[in-house]
Amino acid sequence: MVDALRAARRSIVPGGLVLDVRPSARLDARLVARRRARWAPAGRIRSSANARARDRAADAAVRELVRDRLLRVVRKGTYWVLVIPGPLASVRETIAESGRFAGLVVARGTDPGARYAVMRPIQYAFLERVDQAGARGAEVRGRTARSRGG
Amino acid sequence: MTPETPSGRQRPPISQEIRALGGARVFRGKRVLDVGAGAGRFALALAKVAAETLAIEPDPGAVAMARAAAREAGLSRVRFRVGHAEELREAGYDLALFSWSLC
Repeated sequence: MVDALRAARRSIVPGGLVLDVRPSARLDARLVARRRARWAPAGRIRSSANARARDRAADAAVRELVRDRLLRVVRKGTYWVLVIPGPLASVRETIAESGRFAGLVVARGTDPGARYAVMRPIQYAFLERVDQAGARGAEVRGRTARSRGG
Repeated sequence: MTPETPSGRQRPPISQEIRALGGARVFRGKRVLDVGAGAGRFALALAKVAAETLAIEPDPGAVAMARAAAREAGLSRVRFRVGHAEELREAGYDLALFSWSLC
């Protein structure tokens, strides 16, 4: 991941942006049900250990370039998207097949005939390419470490 | 913006994501590099607003699908290439996008 980020950074102009958008495993996704023309909470979906590990690795890769002053965060946040709409059985099936989800906890009193969906948290960060003497030194150090098998 | 591309049930309409990121203005007139582009979900959406989009993706099947979708939609300012981010030799892009690919 670090190498991919470094390569992408080299491909953009000074002051250009790297935009990292991905589902967040730090926040649980939510099961929602359609009630009275609104989506209401109906349960939660845990992220799998594998998804959390991959997210931590991606976060660490971004942090490394920020720490080396190769990139700086100019804007970041989280938005929620509504996906997998359908009956509960269909939502369950999709969740069971996904490597990013570990399990669905459905709240009591839910209506199995209702329409359901999943609200997924998506995190994003706009990272600006930084160019300064210290940063270039850090990049050279990174390349040297990799060429040594680091 | 663009035709929506088939993206699987776990991903929202691309227009929804672009809005959440600040809208088309974030990408308008820019040279965009889409890293890990998959079947071109984001790149195809940007093709009408970005000045140029290069989308790279290691899966040849996904790249073939993306190229076919671009042809069908008559999109000319987007190119797709099979490859990995680490092989990038291009320069001069305004924005490098990792859309659901850095994880």
